[in-house]
Amino acid sequence: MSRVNDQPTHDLLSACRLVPLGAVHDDRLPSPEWAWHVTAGVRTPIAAVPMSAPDLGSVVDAEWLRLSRQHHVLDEQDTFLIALSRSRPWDKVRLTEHFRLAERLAGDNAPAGHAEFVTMATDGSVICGVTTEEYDVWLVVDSELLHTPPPSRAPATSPEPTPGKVDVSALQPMQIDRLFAPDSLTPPFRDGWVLLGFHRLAKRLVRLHELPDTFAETTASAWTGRHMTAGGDRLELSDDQALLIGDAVGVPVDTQRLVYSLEYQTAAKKAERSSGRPSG
Amino acid sequence: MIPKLPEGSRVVVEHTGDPAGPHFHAGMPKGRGEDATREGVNFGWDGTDPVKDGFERYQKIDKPGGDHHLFYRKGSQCPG
Repeated sequence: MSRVNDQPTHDLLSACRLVPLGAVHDDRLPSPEWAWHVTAGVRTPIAAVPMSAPDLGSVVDAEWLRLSRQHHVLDEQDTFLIALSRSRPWDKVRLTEHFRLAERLAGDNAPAGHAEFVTMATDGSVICGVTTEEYDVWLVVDSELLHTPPPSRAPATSPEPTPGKVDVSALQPMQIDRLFAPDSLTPPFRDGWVLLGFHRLAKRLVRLHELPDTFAETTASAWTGRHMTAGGDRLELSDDQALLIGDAVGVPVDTQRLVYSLEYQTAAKKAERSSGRPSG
Repeated sequence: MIPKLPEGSRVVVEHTGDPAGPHFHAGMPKGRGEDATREGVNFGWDGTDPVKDGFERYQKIDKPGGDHHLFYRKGSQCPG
């Protein structure tokens, strides 16, 4: 355990009237990022405090203390771990009598009491997180999902998927995106043909594949049956055309959910589009 | 184009079944500082499972003195 907190963290913890005991770097503990996701993204509350409550921060703090004692987030010395953000390590702290967590640990630009923080027992066994929803401040307790490896940390059960060898029909579009298509291209950019996949309903570009250098004007023309030129307009493909091109160049094509187009893009255009997410 | 905002991901939601009445409001990633300015946050654009698909709930965006809610009357039509 590090004995040194950085100053802003130390100051914030002190402002909460906690005693900072140092940052904790221990790979055996659930990560702050996962504990935050369980709290703010997944679990439903064990208790909820209406935002209309007078002195909201105090009421939330009282509920947090009640649940944290009941579920042994606090140990006998009143020490526990707190995650002020997803990307920072856990900080070990000790509670003082006049602690003020919910008031000090509100979300960005949110009023005092609209709290966002996660606390955990020092042995990592259980969390008590606080997160603010539409009308209530939620208190979330979890000791199960916390110990389920998050998908990104789970041991790989199969080799890295190979484009063209994955059953994309079994995947959600977001999963396909994660596997195969970045939201934007990464430099260095080069002139060339791209295969664009637009969500049929949302009309949003969700997949973007750079085609190999061997994919030339003549190739594009041959696949589409149209005279395709480097400076020409984007051409919407039929499902059959998209599937054939996908097979030929080894990228997954999901014509059930996506409509595909073929376009030639200069390096400058790719750079411009990759500075934001094209919507179509 | 949907620009990459320096403020991070943003979402505009419509609540059609809210007890207070149907309305729109804006949301952002939960947390403070670097958490609240994260890019590419999946607020549930797709997928069905918040763990497997990695989506998360948003934090309401507030303005000084209150929250940013745009209420509308259900079934009314804009004149003209």
